[in-house]
Amino acid sequence: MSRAVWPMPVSVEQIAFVVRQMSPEERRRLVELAPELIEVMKPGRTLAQARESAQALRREMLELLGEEPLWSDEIFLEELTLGRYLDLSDEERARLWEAWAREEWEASEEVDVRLDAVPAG
Amino acid sequence: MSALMRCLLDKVVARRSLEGLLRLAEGRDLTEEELWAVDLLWRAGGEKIRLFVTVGTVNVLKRLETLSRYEAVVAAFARRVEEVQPTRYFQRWARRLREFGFTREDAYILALASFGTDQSRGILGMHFVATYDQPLITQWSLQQDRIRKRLEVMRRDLQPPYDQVALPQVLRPEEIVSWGAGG
Repeated sequence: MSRAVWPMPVSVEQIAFVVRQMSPEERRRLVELAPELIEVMKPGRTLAQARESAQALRREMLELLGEEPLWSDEIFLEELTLGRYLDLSDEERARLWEAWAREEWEASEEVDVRLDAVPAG
Repeated sequence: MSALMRCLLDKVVARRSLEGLLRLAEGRDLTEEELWAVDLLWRAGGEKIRLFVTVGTVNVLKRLETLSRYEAVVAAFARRVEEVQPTRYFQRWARRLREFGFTREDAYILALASFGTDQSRGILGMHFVATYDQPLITQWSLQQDRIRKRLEVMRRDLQPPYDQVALPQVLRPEEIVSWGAGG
């Protein structure tokens, strides 16, 4: 969750002191009011889980490709083959991406959000 | 959908995601950075988080989808990301951020994460910026208090809902996917 823009009136240490004085019922109520505390306590995602996700995505793409994977000598952008592109150094790929992206920040058009737009606070 | 966590991919994370998909479709192994970037995409498909990319990434996708053999890769990516649109005050906040020493491009990405919206214009800002740029992460963290105060001053003059704008957390993809880990 994004941090609040206004400064906290008390320090984290002071909050911890108050929590230690709380009854179990009050602590349960605190977690209800601030469910972010549960998220922090969850174990991190593992590489094994990430690999499972990657394999699921591979299966999804292969299905769309009619079970025929992409080949290294397939035509890619800029007259490169896919294999040649992926074998370039990271710096070279970054340069190509920059040229393809044509990001023009100064020319970005600003839009107005709706009055009921949900802030990320 | 609006209650979900929202995350803006910087251009390197967007590139790692797309290149990770290309490697998967070709049957290659992924680097660890590509693996986490692809995992973040997967999480978006699972409705745990909404991912946003800049118009630059959309431009790359448009080029790639002209080649029919890459339609599956483009589809796997595009169905999990949305294009972020700059809102009013985006340019102003980007200029303020540059005063903190951020590069032009970093300032724009960080500004977009506060003053960015979706196609329906029903959201304001992101909870996270996903990046592998460690100097950016460090600089954002070290200057957090000063930046927050600067935004607070700016917010005083803004009309609702812009006066509720917040700062994002700037994290690596593996830290973001661990937010509500599992699944």
